[in-house]
Amino acid sequence: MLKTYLAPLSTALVLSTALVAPAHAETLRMASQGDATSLDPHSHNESFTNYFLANIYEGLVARDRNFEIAGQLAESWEQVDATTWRFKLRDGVTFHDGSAFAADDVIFSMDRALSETSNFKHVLASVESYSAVDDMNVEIVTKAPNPILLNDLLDLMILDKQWAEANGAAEPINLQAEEKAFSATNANGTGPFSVVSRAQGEETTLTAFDGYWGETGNVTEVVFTPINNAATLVSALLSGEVDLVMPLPLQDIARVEAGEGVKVVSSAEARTMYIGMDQWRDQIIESPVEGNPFLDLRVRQAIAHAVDAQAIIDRVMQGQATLATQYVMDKVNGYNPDLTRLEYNVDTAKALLAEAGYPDGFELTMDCSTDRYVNDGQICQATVSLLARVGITVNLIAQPKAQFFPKVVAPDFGTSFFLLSWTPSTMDSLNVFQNVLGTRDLDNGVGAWNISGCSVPEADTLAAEAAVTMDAAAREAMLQDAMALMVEDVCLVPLHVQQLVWGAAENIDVVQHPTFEFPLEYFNVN
Amino acid sequence: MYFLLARVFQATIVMLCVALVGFLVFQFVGDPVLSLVGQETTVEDREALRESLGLNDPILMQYARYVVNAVQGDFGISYSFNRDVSEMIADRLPATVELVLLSGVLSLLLAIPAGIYTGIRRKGGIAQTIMAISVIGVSIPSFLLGILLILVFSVWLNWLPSFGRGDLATVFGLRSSLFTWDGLSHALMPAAVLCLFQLGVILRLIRAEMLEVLRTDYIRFAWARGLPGKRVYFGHALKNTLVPVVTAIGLQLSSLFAFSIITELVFQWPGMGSLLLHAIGQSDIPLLAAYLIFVGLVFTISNLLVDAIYVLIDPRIRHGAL
Repeated sequence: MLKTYLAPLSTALVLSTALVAPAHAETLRMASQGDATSLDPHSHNESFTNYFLANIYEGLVARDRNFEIAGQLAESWEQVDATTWRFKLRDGVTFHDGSAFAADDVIFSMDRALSETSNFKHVLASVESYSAVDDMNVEIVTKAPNPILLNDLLDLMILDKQWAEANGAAEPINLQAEEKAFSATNANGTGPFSVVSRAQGEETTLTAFDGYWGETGNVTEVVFTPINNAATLVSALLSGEVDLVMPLPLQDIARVEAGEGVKVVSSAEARTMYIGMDQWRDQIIESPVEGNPFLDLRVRQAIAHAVDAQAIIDRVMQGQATLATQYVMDKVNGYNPDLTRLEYNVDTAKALLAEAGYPDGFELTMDCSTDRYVNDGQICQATVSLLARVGITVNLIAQPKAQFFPKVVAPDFGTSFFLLSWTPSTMDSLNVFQNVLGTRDLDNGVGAWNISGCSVPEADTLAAEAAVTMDAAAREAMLQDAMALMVEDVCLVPLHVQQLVWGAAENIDVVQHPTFEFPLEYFNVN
Repeated sequence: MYFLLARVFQATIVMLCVALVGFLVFQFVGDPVLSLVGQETTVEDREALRESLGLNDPILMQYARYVVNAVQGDFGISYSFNRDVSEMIADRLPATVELVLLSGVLSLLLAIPAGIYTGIRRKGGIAQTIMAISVIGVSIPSFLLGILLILVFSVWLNWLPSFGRGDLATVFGLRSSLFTWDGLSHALMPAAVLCLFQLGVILRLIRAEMLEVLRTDYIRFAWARGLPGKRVYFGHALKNTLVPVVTAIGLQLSSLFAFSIITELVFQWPGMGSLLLHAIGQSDIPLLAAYLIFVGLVFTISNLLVDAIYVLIDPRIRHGAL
């Protein structure tokens, strides 16, 4: 009975799909303030570039429409034992140039991601070995049980072995190479869109790939233009010259909301902003104060009480952010829903400072970028005036990111007070513990972004345990406990989780992910 | 001839100095390695990349290596584009040149007659209006003017496109957007913005020079002799205003390249200016160095041309009297 019922239904589905299939080209004209830095998927590890390329190249697994990890070039997978994973590859997949996809392409791409010039070695950091079982099966063996192998593999894009080797692109771009890199301006993936033309910084045109294995929306052509100037970017949207602007500058939200035929689309982004305080030097730098006040927990608590994060959200962020209680946002695995933020209270802050021996406050220098995060410069200015209320005098060094990052990152960590943020690329808080919160151990690749130099050994232990625990529930509890310890220690002062804000033409349907991905195959032009 | 050779020699020294200053400044534009690698890249990998790019060598050594390569026509590979820098400049240069030419020609066509007119009839209503517009041109910053034009002509009226360079066409082997309607409509607003500032400066200079010359004795004698106005104004007065005016025009037109940075940013014009801004953001030293040398070259060549034109218009220079 079931069969007879299903048959007409599926026929109807096929028919309706045929009916709505685009009779003419639906062009999506997108603009952003930056451009992808390269078309090589293993060269520049920069989020916009990665997500732009995710429309052209695919990985074994990817986030689906609902942000769940699903098979992409892997049809299914199984765990043979705690450290061995077997991936069954999808049949009938072809690259844009028509060649067939098979296991040797996966192995080649993994080799490539691990080669000297790659910036994606971390993706396979937990992997001991990998091999092709046969043409359509690949086996990956990890060094230790890795509960988040799938998350790690999200960023591993697969290239065509024959194409790469034929074009001298067997390795990621080598900046010292005398010849220009073919893979910087050419691409051959399995993704829903292929590259028609590429002029970096000017215009990139993509077209829907006819031989794509999966379902797509009705977008058949994508024209992407970087427009650096914010005012021009918004004008292009308002005058109807582009259909989608991402991100939309906060100061222009009202203009777009008032505009005809355009709308604002927003949702929470996985980026958490925070203030860091030097907890590793005996003497803080660029400050007349003797010793290091931040070694005292009460001083760190006082700063947290003094910084009115809600006011920063309301004024500086124009409401386009949510209060952060911890160092990850709620969609990241390991988020602890029980944690609260130290309330804004000037008197408590002053009392804590007095107890710690600074009744009149002290003077320090704050480092801040002005062109990296949404309104980063203004957030710092607000922090300066908020801290002045409790007697802490802040000399602000607001600088372009090109000056800011070399100053504050490893190996110098040349700051004692700063604004920074982090997006865990795996959407798992273990990534935050390994990079930002874990006790600094640069030789083992831990804490390279722990600029504060904070250290909570119990949290380190929990994180290390979570790294090899396969039981998802137990693991999550460990990460949550570790997060609670870090928050209790006020390792950093959490500020807010910023919103992803796009401006779009009324007739464009988009899918927003907290990681800033823009999976164009789910977009539609109505 | 000796005169020109000496100038060429001087120009070479100037170019070497420009490149040296550039290299000293590049130490402060930031660390290119950080914009090349991702947040998860280890400290050792970063150090290895820095070493392989030669960024750990002393700055003078980097400079010497650069000059030796540049003399051979090799400007290196852009860190952020992974392409030959010379190829990138060849790609972007036509866009800037057509913008500069269009606005340069426009401003000269408008400024010279307007400057002469306001110099002769300085009290009339038309002259007053022209002067008022020229004040606006000189005093409104180009980015503001650009955004205003976009607001009016793109957002409100929807007449002109707000960004980019339009369709290209090839005429007599030259590939330019000025040969198509679409291209012209894209170029119109940025060219107008660039033109307005030049217009104001050149116009006011010509007017001031005309006023100066018209007060001199030989002009009074010319009037006293009963010469017709046309001959006094154009034959005697205008000719003697030309030396300072040509100098100024030469410098102004080469500074159009520099001014075009902001205009190109506002209109997303894919020329050299937007390339420079990108290079600064990414600390792309090979690209920055090449841009600097290019702009230095534009200024030295235009100065050479100005010197050559002097000789043509002022016989006193030719005969070594000045």
